Amino acid sequence: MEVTQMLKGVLEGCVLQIIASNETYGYEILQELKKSGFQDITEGTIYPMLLRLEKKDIIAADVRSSGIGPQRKYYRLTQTGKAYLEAFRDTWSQMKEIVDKVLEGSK
Amino acid sequence: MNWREMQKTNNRLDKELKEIMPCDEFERLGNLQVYLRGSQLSISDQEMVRNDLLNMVYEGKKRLETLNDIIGTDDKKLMDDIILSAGEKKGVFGNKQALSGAVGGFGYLMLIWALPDIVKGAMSTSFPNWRSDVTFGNVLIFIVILIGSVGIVNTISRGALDQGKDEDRKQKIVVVGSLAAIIAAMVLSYTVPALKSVILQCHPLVLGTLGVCAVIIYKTCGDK
Repeated sequence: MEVTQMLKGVLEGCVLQIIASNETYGYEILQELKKSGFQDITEGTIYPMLLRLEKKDIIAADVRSSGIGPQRKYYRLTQTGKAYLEAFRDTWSQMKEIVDKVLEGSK
Repeated sequence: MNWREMQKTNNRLDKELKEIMPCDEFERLGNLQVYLRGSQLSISDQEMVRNDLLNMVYEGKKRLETLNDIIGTDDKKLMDDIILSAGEKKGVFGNKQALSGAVGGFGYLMLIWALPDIVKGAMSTSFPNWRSDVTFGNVLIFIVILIGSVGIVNTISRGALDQGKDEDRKQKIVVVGSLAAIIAAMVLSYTVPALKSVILQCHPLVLGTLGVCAVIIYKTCGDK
């Protein structure tokens, strides 16, 4: 699956959901996404997203030892992030319903 | 961790990566960092991004992945996304960042300029009689060096991820052009009589103090 502009927005919601489930780091988020079907993505795809979310105070990062060398950033959702994820869920449900309707109608 | 400590950590990490990465991949990683330097991000944000990037690559290498596996294949898009996400400031704020670089250059040039006069003064005359002559030629050289060096750094860093003959040619033109302009300014300032005339005489410590102040402002701006 190619990461197009449309998918980027969807990916952001998925990344937030993964972080909401568990404090986690970049590579682990990537593995979760790949397990769910986002195959053609790399850490380079999600890092700018994590950076943007951190700058917007939607997620926060704690730096801890990785055990294999340099330190690692663990991400967690902030209060703003929790509200943002809820808003994403609502928007996604509405959007999915609308798109499904259009696709069903065109058959 | 402040940006200076982070910079030291990053430089150490960079050296460690050199030991474990193939030359072509390490060169590619270097170009990403050079491109980052050409952005309008503050020095602290640049070091933060650099730290994330180097840690990401380091962990990937420990998992025996290639650079393509870790960051993908489109370096320019990746770095543009990162720089945008980190909040690059355009317009007035971006110019402020560029201005701080020029202030730093001004400071170091002032110090280089003042030092010989301070040494000369200390060896030949009493402190109140130390003197620096500022000529039109000095000012011309100063301005040309400042503009030329900023131009060279910007061209090389912004073109770090653009491959091909056109980019190479552009970089060569800017570097050779800037060096030629500096040499021409030096020759003119020592040969054209009008440029030899003194426009200002001052104590070299005044120039030195100006230089120190400019360097302090430049260093302080990096934290913002």
